[in-house]
Amino acid sequence: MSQDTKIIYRITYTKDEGVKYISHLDFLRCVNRAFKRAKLPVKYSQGFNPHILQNIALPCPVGVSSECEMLDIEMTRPLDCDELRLCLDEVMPRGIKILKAERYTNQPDFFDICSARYAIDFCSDVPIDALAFDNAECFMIEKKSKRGMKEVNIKDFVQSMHTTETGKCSYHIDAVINAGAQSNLKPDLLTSAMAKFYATEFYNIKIVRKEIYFSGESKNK
Amino acid sequence: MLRQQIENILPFVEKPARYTGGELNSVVKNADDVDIRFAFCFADVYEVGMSHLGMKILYSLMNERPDIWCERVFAPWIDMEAEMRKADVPLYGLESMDAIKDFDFIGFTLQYEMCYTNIINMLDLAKVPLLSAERTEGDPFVCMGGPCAYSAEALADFADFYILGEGEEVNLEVMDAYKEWKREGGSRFDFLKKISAIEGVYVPSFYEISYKTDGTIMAIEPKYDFVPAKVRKRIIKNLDSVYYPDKFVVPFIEIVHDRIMLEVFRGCLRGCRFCQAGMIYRPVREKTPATLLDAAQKLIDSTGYEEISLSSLSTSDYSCLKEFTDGLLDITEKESISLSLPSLRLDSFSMELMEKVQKVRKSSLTFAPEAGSQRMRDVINKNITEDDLLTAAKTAFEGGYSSIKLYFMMGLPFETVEDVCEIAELSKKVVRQYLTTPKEKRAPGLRITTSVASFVPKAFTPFQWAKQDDRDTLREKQYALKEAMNDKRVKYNYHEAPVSVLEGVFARGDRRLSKVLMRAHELGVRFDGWSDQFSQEKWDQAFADCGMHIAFYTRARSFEEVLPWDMVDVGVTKEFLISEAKKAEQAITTPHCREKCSNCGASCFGGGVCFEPRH
Repeated sequence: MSQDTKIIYRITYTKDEGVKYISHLDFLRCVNRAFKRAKLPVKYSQGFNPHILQNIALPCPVGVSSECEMLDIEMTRPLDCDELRLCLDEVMPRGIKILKAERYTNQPDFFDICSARYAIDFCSDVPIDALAFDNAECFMIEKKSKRGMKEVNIKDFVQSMHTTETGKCSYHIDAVINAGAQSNLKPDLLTSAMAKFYATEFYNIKIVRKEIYFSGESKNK
Repeated sequence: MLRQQIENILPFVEKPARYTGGELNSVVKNADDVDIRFAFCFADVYEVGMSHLGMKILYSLMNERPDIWCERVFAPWIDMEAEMRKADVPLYGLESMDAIKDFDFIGFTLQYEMCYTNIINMLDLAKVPLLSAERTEGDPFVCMGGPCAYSAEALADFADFYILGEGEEVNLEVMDAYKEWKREGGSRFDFLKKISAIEGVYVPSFYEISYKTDGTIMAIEPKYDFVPAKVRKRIIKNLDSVYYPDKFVVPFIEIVHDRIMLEVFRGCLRGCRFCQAGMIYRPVREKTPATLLDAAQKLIDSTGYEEISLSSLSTSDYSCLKEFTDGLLDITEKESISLSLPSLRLDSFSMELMEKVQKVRKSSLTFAPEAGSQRMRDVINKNITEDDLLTAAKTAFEGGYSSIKLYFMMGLPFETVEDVCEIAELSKKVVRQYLTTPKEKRAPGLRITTSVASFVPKAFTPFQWAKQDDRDTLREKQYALKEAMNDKRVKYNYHEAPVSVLEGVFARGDRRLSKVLMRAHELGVRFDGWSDQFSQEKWDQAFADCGMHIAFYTRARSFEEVLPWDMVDVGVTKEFLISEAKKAEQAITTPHCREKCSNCGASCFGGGVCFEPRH
């Protein structure tokens, strides 16, 4: 989408626990219908099967809830951002909250997404030394790539991670891992690698995407 | 907590969104604020159950009441069932994720016979005692409704009560009786006694069935003097003013019928003799175009669906079809959503309408002549001639369609192998119709698909006494037809015979089949409607273990025999069905309701087409 003539809005929204099992394609359809209900002046593509001109940043993996989803949507005329936010929020299923709507001008492109921060809570069958995996230099895992399964060092995909004990056998991870078109790690792969590292099973796993970063952006908090 | 247990197993199942709820327009209430919790169960997977219009209506209807919370429950697929059993997760409602064993009611809608084992499996997963006789104070009441409920004696041991007919009024009457019973305090028996006085409620345990030595029924007798000898079904007399939801739950995942459905009318004028729906939904009652258009607009606004379709047994027979479709096309054009039409009769207006609706893409057309020979079409009272079909096919080909689906049945009463082979002849005539259409007019890529289902005799039809072809006879006919179908341009599909035979057994079964269902459940039988799950061996074993015989249920009955469903009154009388059965034997047709009233008995309800002014 070029930025000069087109009227594009960037919508920021959350996906809570109740809707985290919705796949990306199902989510697209859900958003389409929401725009239809809202009767907003969305722009449709030409052709036999017109569809809404929208673009979702970094599809959320199934089973992961999120506090920082983004989508860009093209309109046929300009709208008041606050009205757009309220209007959309009203027609969404519970479980999806619209946080913000802003006119897309010079924000970074979704293509420049490089990493994402996740908050992961889990319980372990046995107590683990929370720092051992955090500090490990290398742990090889099988990862699906375009050319089949590949052995990779998972730590190459982890920019930072900090694991803390939150209770008896329950833990919390704050992690920034690669995300986006160039290099991507699914957060559930991190927990399964950790479980393998500690030779145990994790359960009650809850993963929340906290933030999405574009290249050049600061990840310090 | 149950929710956490469920979350822990979801990563291991296909399509987890089947099991999590949270869809737009699904209703979440505070459990402490309601008096009655109702689990509305559909004994198939989410995608099938969510497509069912009756559930959408009753779900919304009950949830309109602040004192009732109705939740949806579907059959978990094999993988989810395994995980649930492993993790000891009981069957739960999608809205609250609470176990349904703690609900007041568990209601099943019976849409087809091959879901019966799923019902038992779902009760088992819910950890509710399977048999009605084993349920005690504190257990939910298990009720069943829907089209199969009129003759679902096979489930009699499992159901506490049945609700017969259209549910919009009677369901709420039962709910009110429940609240009254709760206030008064009383036993389960007292509640069943109370509701047995409501028209449309059938309590199977209140009837004693005795049998003759040949296995047929001697008598059906009420056990108590407060029980009616016959239970009459309920209908909505004025369909135009009946409740219709202005919201549908909009699923996240794609379901079978993923669109807005508008119910245009109930009942059918036609009286095809094989068709149970055509008899049990009588009399025809229509909605007005104004009501329908209003519902359409509301549902478009509340769902955001991109497609709308019409629902009825024979939409072409709607008396205001032109006015209604003109109005509807105005709406769909304005809202840029598409209108999909159900199968229509083969008349010129229908063809015109299809032309109007399918402006861009010509998908395939479906015609249902049901039988190959004219004699057989007269036997079943399908008032369609070969000429009607070929003219319609010609119009379709000239209109740019190149793909036609033809639906037939085999195994019909009074049918010969020659009649069956006429299906092939008729299919080939449709091919010739294409070939004689000028090349410049017709679209390339002819595709004729002929699908042949096995006829299943159903209760409350003129064929309820007929012999059902056994597996071998059906197979012979299928092979004969395959031979006769020697034309590569026709694609020939047929249904598996064993499933049809079992469907027939349960469609005309008596309550002794409850034992067989229980045994089949113990053997792990479920999802019989899914060909990859169906196991003939297990069913054969279940029958053998119970000392029961399939052939007893597929045999022909005499008009005098007491039928297992004789305690049910659907309006249409036995006298009418017998006269229709006799006319079938002579291949004499019966005119439809608007041509001439045939005194079927449905006028007893005091409404609908029976009281339309005649010209």
